[in-house]
Amino acid sequence: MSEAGFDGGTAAIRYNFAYLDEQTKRSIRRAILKAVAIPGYQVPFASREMPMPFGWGTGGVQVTASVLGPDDVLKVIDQGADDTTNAVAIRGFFARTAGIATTTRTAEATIIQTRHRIPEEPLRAGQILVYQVPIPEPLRFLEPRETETRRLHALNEYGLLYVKLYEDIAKHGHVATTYAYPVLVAGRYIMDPSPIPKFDNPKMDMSPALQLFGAGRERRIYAVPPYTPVRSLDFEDHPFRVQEFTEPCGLCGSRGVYLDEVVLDDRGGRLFMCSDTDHCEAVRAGKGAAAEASW
Amino acid sequence: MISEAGLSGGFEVPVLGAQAAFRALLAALSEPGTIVPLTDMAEPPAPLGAAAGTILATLADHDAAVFLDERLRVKDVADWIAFHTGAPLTADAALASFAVLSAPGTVPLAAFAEGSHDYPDRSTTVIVQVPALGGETAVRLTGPGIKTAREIALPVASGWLAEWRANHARFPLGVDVVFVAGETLLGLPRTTRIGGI
Repeated sequence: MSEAGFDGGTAAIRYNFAYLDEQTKRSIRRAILKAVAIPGYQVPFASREMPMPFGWGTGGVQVTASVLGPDDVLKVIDQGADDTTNAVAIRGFFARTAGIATTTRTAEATIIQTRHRIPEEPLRAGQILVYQVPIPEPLRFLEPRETETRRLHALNEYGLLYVKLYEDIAKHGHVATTYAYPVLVAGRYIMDPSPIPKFDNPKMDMSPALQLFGAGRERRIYAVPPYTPVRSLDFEDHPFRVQEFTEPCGLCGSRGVYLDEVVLDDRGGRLFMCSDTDHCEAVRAGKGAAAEASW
Repeated sequence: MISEAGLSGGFEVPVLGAQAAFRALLAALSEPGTIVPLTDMAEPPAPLGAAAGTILATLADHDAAVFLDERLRVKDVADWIAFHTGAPLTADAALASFAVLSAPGTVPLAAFAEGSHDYPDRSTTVIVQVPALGGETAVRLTGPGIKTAREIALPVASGWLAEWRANHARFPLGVDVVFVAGETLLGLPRTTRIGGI
């Protein structure tokens, strides 16, 4: 095997494979392995300065860079879309610094880096889903001190979070948290699933894919191994429920998927469409083929 | 002076070799009990096995101290680890990030770092060399990474299983174990419950 298979930039200046230096990769890899061994626990790591600002997925990028190999096929989504700024930039970054193949098709990808969505198409064993995480600590807005939240996790003391959900019910009659909805992983650690809509929470439970989470600014890595129970917090009399949409996707007609609202004009025109662009395109392509076949 | 054996036997292509070995380890620890093949091997001097050497070459460095059991504590091995990883060797099992044992049970699991309640990740990863990844004791594994249950044979005596149960019971504290034989490995993270068949 040779390293000549990728061109990390111009001939004169070549980056190491997947940008990060090897010492950084080793430290991140050690953190990832401990994260897998302690599902839902946040492992501190020495987050590096990346060629993009914090808040643009530097945690996810560092995890992806440490996991990625020359045979991987990478998909990057930003709120479900393959064609938005963040997704295009990160895909291009790895195509250039690692020379790997990229795709927009969920089924073809071996590694999927995501900002705030889980693809509609069920993931399969062997795939790795890398989440970009802004605030990894589910207790942070209830208790600002890191020393205290760390101790609360150590003591398995999560009463605060239940109080927060209870206050929602007292105020609104239902749990009003709709994204970054806290989950209990393997019956021990409570975890922030990153700001995915709670619609996606059930997909994390017993997923055949490995799920890795990277928070660059907050310097934390955590993980959910495949086939691990992930339960959204709830109460017996207020069971966890996901969002429901009355209308189907305005473009492909899918039901039971997560929809984005798009404002079309200044006269109240609006469209609900799939947030997962790959899913939407695949359904439309399938319908087009079916229409042609029956014609 | 560093020995000849200590200087040779690294990865052929270090960047890609370490990446492939890491993915094998990641697969082994996220799917406990499966036998995962390694592709690119480092070639450490005996008695350190090729798979154990490959793991050290992949993950050990100046931030991650290595513990060797008595049979592995020979000059060639120490030289090889020093030259290829830069990792300090420690004689104190409780300070090790990585430990290599020449056989199961040469050092009890309880001797290694189990982490603290605030930082359970500060624990030792114990690499155990065995002749083959099958063998003596039929067990049933359950826990994260396993859909329902996985029935395998572990290359350990039944006494070691009691050690493992004590380790598992300490969760979230505890050590993680990787069995290595030839060019294959098998992971047991602390979350894995071992039952008899």
